[in-house]
Amino acid sequence: MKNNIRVERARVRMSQQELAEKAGVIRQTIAAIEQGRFNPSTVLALKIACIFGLTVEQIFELEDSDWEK
Amino acid sequence: MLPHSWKIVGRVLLALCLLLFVSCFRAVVHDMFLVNSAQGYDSFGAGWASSLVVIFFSIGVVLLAFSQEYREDERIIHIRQQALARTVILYIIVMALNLIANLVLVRMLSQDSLGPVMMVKRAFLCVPAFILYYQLIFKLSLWSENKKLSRDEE
Repeated sequence: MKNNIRVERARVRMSQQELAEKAGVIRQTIAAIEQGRFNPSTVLALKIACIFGLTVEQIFELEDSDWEK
Repeated sequence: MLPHSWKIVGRVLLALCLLLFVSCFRAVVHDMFLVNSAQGYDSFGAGWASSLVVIFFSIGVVLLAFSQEYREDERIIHIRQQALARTVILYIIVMALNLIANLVLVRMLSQDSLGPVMMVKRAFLCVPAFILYYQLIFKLSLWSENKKLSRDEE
C-alpha cells in the first residue's frame, strides 16, 4: 500500500515525532508506515487522515500487489 | 497484557532464580548440603532450592514476556503476535517429535514408554522455556525492525 504521509508532513511542517504523538503511536510506527513496512489499522489510518485534514483515500492508495494477497 | 511495571518484578524473580541456581550449583559441587548421616548424601537442601529456581523462573518469564513494553502500540502488538505464532509452531513441532521419539523408543528398545500423565507433565514443564524463547524472538524482531527503519531513514 502506498502513502504520501511524508509529503503531507512536509506540507504542514510536522515531524514524525509530532505526528506520532498526535496519533498515539511511537515514532518508529510512523516511519514504518511511511516506508511501507507496516500497514496501519483502520483507526490509525483515520486518525492520520484526520490530523492532516484529509480523507483516508487521499493519503493511502492500494497497489496491484495488495490484490494478489 | 500486564502493565509495564510488572517487568521489574519479572526481572527481580529471574535474578533471584539465577542466584539460587548458582548457589545450588556451588552447593552441589562443594557438598554444602551434605548431612552427616548413616545414609550418606542428603540432597534435601538442593531439592527445595531447585524447586524455588523452577518456580521463580516460571513466574519471572511469564511476567517479563506478558508485560507491556514501555511504549506499546499496534506495530509492537503485531510483532508480538508474529513472535508468539512462531513460538507456538515450534512448541507443537517439539512436542510431536517428543511423542514420536517416545513411541519409537518403546518399539526399538522395548523400554517402558512415558505414561500420558508424565508426557503431559513434561509438556507443561517445557512451557516456561518456550515463553523465554518467545520473549527472545520478540525482542530480536523488534530490534531488527528498528534497525532496518534507521538504515532506510539514512
